[in-house]
Amino acid sequence: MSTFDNRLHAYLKRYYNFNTFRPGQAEVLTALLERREDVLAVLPTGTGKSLIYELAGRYLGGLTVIVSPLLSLMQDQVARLNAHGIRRTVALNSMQHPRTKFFILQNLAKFDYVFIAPETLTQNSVLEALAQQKINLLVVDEAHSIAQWGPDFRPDYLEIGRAYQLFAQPRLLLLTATASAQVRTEIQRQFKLPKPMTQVVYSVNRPNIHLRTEKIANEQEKHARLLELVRELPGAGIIYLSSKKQANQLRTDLQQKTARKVATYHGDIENEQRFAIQQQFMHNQLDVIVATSAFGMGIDKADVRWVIHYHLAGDLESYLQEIGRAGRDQQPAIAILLYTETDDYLVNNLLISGIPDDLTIKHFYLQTPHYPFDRQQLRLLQYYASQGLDEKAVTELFRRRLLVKRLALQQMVQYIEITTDKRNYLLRVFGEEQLVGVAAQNWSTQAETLDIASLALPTTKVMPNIGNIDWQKRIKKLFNQ
Amino acid sequence: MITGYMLTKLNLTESRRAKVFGNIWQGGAQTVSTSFWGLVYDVLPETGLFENTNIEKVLKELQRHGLIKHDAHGLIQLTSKGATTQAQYQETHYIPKHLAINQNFDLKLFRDLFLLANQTISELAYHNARFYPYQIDLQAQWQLKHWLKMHPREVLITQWSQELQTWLATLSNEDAQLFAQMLFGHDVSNALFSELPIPDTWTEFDWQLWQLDQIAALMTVSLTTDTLIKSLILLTRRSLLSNSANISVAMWQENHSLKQIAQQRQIKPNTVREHILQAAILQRWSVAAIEELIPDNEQSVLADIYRDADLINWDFKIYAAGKDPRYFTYFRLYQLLQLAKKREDMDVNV
Repeated sequence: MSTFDNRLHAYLKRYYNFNTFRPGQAEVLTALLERREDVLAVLPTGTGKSLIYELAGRYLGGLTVIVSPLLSLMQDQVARLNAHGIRRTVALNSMQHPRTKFFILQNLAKFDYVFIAPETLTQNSVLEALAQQKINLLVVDEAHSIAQWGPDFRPDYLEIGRAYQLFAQPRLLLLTATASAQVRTEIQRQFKLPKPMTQVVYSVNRPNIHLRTEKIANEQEKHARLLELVRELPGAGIIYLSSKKQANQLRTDLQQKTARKVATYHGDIENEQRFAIQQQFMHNQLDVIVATSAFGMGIDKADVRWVIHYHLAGDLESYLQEIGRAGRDQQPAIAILLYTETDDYLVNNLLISGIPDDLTIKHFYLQTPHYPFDRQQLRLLQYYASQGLDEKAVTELFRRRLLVKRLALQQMVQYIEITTDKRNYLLRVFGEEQLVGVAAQNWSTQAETLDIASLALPTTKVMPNIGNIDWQKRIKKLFNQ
Repeated sequence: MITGYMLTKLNLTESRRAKVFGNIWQGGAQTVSTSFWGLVYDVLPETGLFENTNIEKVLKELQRHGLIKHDAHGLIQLTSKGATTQAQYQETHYIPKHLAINQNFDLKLFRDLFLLANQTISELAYHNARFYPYQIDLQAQWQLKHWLKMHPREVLITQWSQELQTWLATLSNEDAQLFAQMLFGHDVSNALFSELPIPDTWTEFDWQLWQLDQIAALMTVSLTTDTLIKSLILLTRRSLLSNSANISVAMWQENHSLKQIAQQRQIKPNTVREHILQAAILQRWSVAAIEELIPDNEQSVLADIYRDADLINWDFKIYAAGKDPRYFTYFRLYQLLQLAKKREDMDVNV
């Protein structure tokens, strides 16, 4: 082992009490810290990407800025660093009160890690305040979002490159779990780097996760099938849906008709209940979380055994991200996608709703008074107008974007339709080499009955729930008396 | 949900300004008018408690079900169907009783500090520094950190748990049980809504409201004691008045005239009047203090014009139309005076 390796392992032992790195971690850290290269790392979910920037930040000193897409996830990321003993950490985003934001900007020197939303990063006052700090590392988490969300949903993603230049080009680390060669090129283009980044690309394949799709005749049968699965699958699981309302209804139903303990998790859940759900899920006191896919979850639970998609994701990148929550302990896990033919109609509507149509664009450029613009769409249009694009160019851009999204949805639907070589289909989409033999297996469709026992999913040790104990005993337990 | 709760703020006989509820629930700076009507409707103690309220949506929902009448001026009133639903709501949902403290101490901020303090002290009791902390506002976190450092570890653990036990013992067993379920710490999670022993009719909104109300009760009681909890509450002291208004009021209380304050502070006399008016509303000034603000002759004129006991129906134009802004202030102060008299009468009766 080189001196550098020794030092790296000493950090790992000291701060995380691990002896070995997970695949990809040491490779990225060596390129970033020893060879001082900028790195674009594609590492499958569950590889411990946050450990990479936590450790790199400790090693480099100064300020580490982490651009993170999910506002709801950001505070959880801060909590996770806190739990690793890193206290000088803060999140900066538009959900905060301006007073809090001001306070943070005034005290930036007191932090080692700043999580920031792209929309906040690109504000001039924020950029200026950050540029006065010694930023040694700029991380873009979920970097595929630059290509996936930037052009329509969140144009500020396209401005991260400007921030990078303004921060005097600190060490750059782009992290994602899924990015095709084309997406990787697109991401890098935003930074105008003198030389290409070092790419550390690991397969998106998660061999320990059994991939299963089930085409189901109608909604009623799908609902019945879900109940059946929730009753039978062992251990903790997550069900993804695209609607908060339906998530709430489903939770009630699952709670009544199965023996599992279920909670919903989405943007409308109060802070105190979110905390309860996260903590109980972590401590195996809660079996099932019904979540909306737009809503991330900051906790790192290694033994999620199964993920069920009740609604399909908008594209395969998102799908892989979401199923990647299963089996992080490298033990067998399963990802099941339940599908009826009306589902892609639902998802297609969601996709379209984010993109301004021709008429909206026309009224934007005509500056029609009192036109009922959607706020998100208006922001997008204002952004592109500020970039000097005229109506024709913007119309063309959004038509192209819609096409790309529809193609991505088709790929997703194709993943469900395909009845041969499903695992290799995923790898083909991401431009990866095909697997052969057993490695290409571990998938199934509705054509064969799901034999849960044969998957050898480990069972989880259920922690005793002290919820209903007498309040005196609860206080004693809380304070170790 | 807050839609049902909104019904409890309305009645059959009187129209109320819908926006007042939205503005007060969302928190933030209040106009004198909002504060005044907030006082009349007794909703000021709920300042900032439901900041995500979309009042337009709430009103639409109530209107859609035929529970309120909503006119073009934003005035709302219960329909008879609304009154029936209101009565049902009051029977089946939680109605808070202790929120008054929120006018002088930030209740939601205290709730966050209290829960994180409890978690941290619990982890301290197990010598564990590596845990997922409950996420609260950063400034509050720093305040708490400072507060924790002021007390020795053993004192924190022993005294905090003792104070909690003392408090819980004053509650009914059901309430104590529920209160304890919202506490979390080392290897102890707080309860999910679905596992709480609460009435079937309660929604998550009721649970949130119950928690806030119980914490408000804890604050109210603790302020009369010499406890760790009291020292934590003191961190959340607040004034609903703006800094500028506070300066004007301080000068007024040092016997400067309105004119002198305006000149010295280089602000308009009307702004100073608004500051004083805002203070009289938010700090619930006494009858004597308000009377001092209205010249005697104006009090007589006002008394002649407004004989109707129900000040909600008073039309300021009869007295103040066409006059300079000071007369509107006198009008408002006179309304306040009547409210203060009612309050003082009630206090005497109690």
